[in-house]
Amino acid sequence: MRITNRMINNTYLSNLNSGLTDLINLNQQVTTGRSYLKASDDPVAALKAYQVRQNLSRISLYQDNISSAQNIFSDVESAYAELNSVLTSTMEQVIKGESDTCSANDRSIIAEVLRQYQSEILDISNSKSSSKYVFGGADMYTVPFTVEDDTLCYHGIDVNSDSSSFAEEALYYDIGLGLETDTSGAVISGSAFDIANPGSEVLGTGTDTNGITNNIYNLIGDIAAQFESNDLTNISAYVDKLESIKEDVLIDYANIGQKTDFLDFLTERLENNRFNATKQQSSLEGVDEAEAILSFNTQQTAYNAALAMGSKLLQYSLLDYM
Amino acid sequence: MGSTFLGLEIAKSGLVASQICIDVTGQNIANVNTKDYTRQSADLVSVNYNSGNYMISQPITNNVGQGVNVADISQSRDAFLDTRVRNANSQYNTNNTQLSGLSDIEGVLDETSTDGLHAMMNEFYTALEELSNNVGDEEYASIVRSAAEKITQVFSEYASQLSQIREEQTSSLEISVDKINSTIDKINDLNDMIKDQTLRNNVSNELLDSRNSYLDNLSAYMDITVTANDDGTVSVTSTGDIDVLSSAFSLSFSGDQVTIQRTDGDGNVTDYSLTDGSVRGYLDVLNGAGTYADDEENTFRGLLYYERALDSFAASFAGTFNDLNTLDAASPADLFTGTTAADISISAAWYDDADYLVVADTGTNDNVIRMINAMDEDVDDTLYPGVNGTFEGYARTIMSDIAVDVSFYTDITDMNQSILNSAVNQRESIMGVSVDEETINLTMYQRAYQAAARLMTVLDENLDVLINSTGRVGL
Repeated sequence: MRITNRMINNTYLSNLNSGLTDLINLNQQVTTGRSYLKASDDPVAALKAYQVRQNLSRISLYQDNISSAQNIFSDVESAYAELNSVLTSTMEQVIKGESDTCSANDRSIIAEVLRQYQSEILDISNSKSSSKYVFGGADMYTVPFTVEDDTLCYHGIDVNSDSSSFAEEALYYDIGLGLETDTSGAVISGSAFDIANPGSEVLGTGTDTNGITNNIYNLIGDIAAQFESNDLTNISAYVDKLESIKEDVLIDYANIGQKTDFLDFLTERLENNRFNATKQQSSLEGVDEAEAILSFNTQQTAYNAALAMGSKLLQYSLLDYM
Repeated sequence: MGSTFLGLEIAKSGLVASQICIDVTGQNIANVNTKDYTRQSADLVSVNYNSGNYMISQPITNNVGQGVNVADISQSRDAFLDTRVRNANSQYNTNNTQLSGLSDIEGVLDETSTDGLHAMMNEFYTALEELSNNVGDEEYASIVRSAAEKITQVFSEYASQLSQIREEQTSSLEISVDKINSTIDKINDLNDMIKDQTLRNNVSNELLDSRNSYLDNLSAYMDITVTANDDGTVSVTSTGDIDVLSSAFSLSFSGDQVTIQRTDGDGNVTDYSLTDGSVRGYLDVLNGAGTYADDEENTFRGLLYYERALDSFAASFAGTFNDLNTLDAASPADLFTGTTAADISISAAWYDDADYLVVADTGTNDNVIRMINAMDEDVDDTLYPGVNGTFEGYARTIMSDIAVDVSFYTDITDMNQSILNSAVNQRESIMGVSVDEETINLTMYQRAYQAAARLMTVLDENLDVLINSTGRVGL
């Protein structure tokens, strides 16, 4: 093939240009720390990276949700612990007051103490975790328990009312269990985490077949009233009731513990997922510095060599030797 | 018997021929870096002995040739290589124009190092989740509203940037069409001049170079086939065998479509479509509607595809959330107004009151959860044809479409660039000037000139002997 001067120039220029392009690309990779700057540089990695980004954002969302659920539940747990200790003290007082050795005067003092416990229980039931009432059920922004005309009400409904007057309450947090709704649009309970702790269920509602209230607050009130009147004919049924409610509270307490365990387990799993996703992200978008710098140096050597060659190639012709 | 002074004539023809050869070499050296210059060479032929009107044969000693003649100053050029270069040029310019248009679109849609639609969708999702966990707190409802507002802003930002690109591409197309028309004029002018010169048997190689250069330029805009005619002119045809040189091209706009119109020599105007060249590239970028193309429309994934995709996306997003916010179909409570990417915005009612978003239907946060679910579920493509997957998924689809196309057309353009380079190099190999070669030629012609001059001296000495010394014995 005949080689002409324009050919030499054109070829040399285009090779030099492609060498420089490679050099700039590598330089950009090293300075930005990204293996690609536009999605078109690596469409497959870019698409995956977008998915990983969504994944990461969901994971951190679930982590936030879990941590706020954990906050609420740890406050619920301590509320239960307090409730339990108040109930234990109540039990002691009631047993003391129930005994035959107790005088009418002593009983009225005990009744006074029981009234104190009653108001403590009310405080515990209305306790807040940050700005939320932990026993507010689905509505955590309004005070759940109020005493109106000496009647304890849960969200405005007398707690002694029949249990059918209290709606099923649920407040679902999406913690990455694959949130799903049924055809009517209601959340399928297994697919989300229910953080509602309705106070109505904690303190109890309605009355049993003997006409005794199921509500702790009211029950203690009723017992106190009997002590005050010093009429203990029916007391044993009430004491038994208190005993069984105390048992129930302990069982609930244990259930709460299980729920927090589940949240802890999920936290760990999500932390794992997050680690994997971050690793995946850096392998997709990140650049291997050592490798990039090495290729940069190789490319630079090649480019320098090309420049040196060019200065020799373009400078001379036969004329220089004639 | 040859003439006494024939030898001097031979020597003179040698001198003249060498002189011309040296001039041609000089012209080549002078133009070593001139773009589109074709190497020239003097075609030397030896001059035959003219037998004249002798009826009988002459002695063999009379049949000496009569020197040298410059028959032609010719160009070393190969028509086949010209065709190859022009075809490669058309193809390369098609893809390169498509690529540059697509790269512009990618610049708008790509979210590799910035946040765009995908990130905003993600933010909206997070805002909905926060709201569902904090139902009753108006602050969270207004976070959802501002996340939704950002989505509408990104939509209109995209729409306005795409229309900006459309304007730029259209004006580039207009310039290209103007260039085609003015190049056609130039080629016609040169055709006339060359025809004129050919009639006078006086062809100028520089005019041919100039015409070839315009033909090369024309091949960048459209696919052309060049045929040489006997009178020195060339005919140019393009897709559909139309006569390019008698045509004028113009643009016509109808709706969102751009078409090229051709006015032929008789003034008839027809729609014209080309297969290659940058004009074709611009048309693909402007008219390409991809999977959104109707029957006759261009199926390249160009501006129209992304415009329509974003419009459908905006309409499906607004529609889905408007429907979800309405518990009773009879009394709509729209969160969004507008049905295209350009005009989607937050409804005035929502703008006035963040709590306009319906949080609950029968439960506490069940409607918000329905909205979150709508973000996680595939869009109903019977209601909104063209939109595939979830909202976030569709945002990814759009970005990945453009990324894949840009990557593909980058590769194709690189490939066509190297095909073009190799064709140009092959042509250069024939038509280019090599200084080494010219130097050798120069030396060669210089020697020939020196030899012819010496011949003249020899003949002169011979004549000197003949004229001044012959017949002077004893004087």
